[in-house]
Amino acid sequence: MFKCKLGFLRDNFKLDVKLSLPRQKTLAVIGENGSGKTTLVWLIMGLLKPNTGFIAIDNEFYVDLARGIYSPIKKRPFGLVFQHYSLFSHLSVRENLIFGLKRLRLSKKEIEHRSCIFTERFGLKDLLHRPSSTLSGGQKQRLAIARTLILKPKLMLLDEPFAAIDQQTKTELMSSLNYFRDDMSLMTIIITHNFLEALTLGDMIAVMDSGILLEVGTKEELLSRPKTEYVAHLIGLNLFKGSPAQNAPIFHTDLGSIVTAGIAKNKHYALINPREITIHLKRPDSSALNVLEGYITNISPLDHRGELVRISISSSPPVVSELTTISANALNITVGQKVFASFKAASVNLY
Amino acid sequence: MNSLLSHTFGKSASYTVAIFCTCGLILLLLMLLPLFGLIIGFHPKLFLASLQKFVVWQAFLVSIKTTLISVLIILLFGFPLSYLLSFYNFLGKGTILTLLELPLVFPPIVGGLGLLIFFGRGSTFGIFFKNIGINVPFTPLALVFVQIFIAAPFFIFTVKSAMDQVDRECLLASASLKASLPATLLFVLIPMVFPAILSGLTASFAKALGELGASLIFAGNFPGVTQSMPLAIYIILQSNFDDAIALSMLLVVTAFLPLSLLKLTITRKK
Repeated sequence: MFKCKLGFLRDNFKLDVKLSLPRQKTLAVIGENGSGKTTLVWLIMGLLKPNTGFIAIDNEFYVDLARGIYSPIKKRPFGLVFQHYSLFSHLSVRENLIFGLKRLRLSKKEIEHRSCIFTERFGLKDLLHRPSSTLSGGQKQRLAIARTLILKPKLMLLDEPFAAIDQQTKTELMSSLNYFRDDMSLMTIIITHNFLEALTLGDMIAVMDSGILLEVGTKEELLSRPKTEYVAHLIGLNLFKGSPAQNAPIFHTDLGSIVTAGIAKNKHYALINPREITIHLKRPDSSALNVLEGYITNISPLDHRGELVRISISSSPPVVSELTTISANALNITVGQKVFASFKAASVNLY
Repeated sequence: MNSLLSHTFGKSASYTVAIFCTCGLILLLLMLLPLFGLIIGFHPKLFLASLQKFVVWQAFLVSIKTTLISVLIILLFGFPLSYLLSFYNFLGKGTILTLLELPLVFPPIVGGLGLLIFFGRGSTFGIFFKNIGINVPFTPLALVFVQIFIAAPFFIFTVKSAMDQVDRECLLASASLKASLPATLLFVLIPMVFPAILSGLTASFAKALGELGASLIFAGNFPGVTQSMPLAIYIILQSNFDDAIALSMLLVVTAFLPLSLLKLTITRKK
């Protein structure tokens, strides 16, 4: 189990993160540019020094500033793959691969043994004596990961590993990473700004913004019960933070109230699937208890085949609805038009 | 002549190219005039005869000895300085960078005069050095001082700008691959800026070898001691024109040799 708690302050940027990661698991950290993702992995790796906090695997503390423990990079069983690979362009592929092994002063036999395994596994055999500057983007990426993994770290840190490679390479790389994760019982922290990548790669997902983790959880938790509007927005759900009324089946949010199916206590989030929300041009007489009035602020296609559209409505509270393109066309709606959005009390999911 | 600009600007690009070509050729010719002159004055027989003269080799040896020492000092002290100037920000860095450019704009003869005053009999430093038994003015040591003053900036600026180009994350990557700072310098930084170190050395070598103005004032003209090649050329010129040409050729070849060897190895590597 990897655990860390880090506080870091520099030039108006504040980072405050606490996270833990079980063995053999992968954590995907997702966030916008400038949210502090790279700073986080640099702090863990030891390229930056935190102001407060600790870093530990099981009971082995590599950093514990309260107790004056601060291990240098060399003593930490972590590996970091930089976003732009940072290969040594003056060295050959093989020299890049065994760079770290040489610095650890391992025996020639051990260096040979390990380099054989990793050359094979990462498909570098035919490239070994090429200058690393002549490699393609995908090959560079593979080499960057291989030269880090060859040191047998317990924790791998990957900074935007898939930012600049094609789909084919991406798939190969993921299978290699999975292989080593199982073989070396590796823990992995992957940084990305692509939510789909985070879902594909991470067993756990952490959402980062302005130096803090907005939410951390398993994929399932995040998808079924998001706790931030950021995530709800990313997966396209209507999420409202608020509190239920004491004696009525009503949930109050800052931007308006929703009728719920029963009286609820100690619930803080209301989640509504956009497909449960229907749109009408006139006030409907349906059995739906929630009817919200508002203007259409945005209409955007949801999939690349254009079968579904997402419609944002400025009601109180504002909601997003998903319709088939056919029904949207039948309604003949445009941005700025006044509409009514309705949904059943039973489709409001409280937690 | 094929260029994106020709396609974009059409005829006006062609006129511009014609005018610029003429300008470029004229300047090239002006710059090559000294070389033409040397070639015109060069007679192999006379050259070989001059090369056998003692005075020529004496000057050559003085120049080579002092220049090699100067270049070695520039390398040993210039590399750390370039490193600090490239990787660190500190108070007074801008001032240091400006001071380093001083020799480039400083008239050499004024530099020589400055050194003469500094180490002279009238100055406290001069008296101090004299008292501890080190005599600087009019000795080979004076030549070394002058050459360092003239040539060091060429090395420092070349190496510093190469270091500025080095991807900082490469050095961090080295650290994350468990390399210490000395190992990172030795196996990552130095190999990466090695071509710049070589070209900086050759440039400062050529510059130091050809220095005349400052050494004339500060080192004097003692054959076999401080009479360097440029100075010998100036002196011999007044009595034996052919020897002066021979010595000039020798000087040019010696200054060019490291540069051309360097170019050769770099192109061969590629």
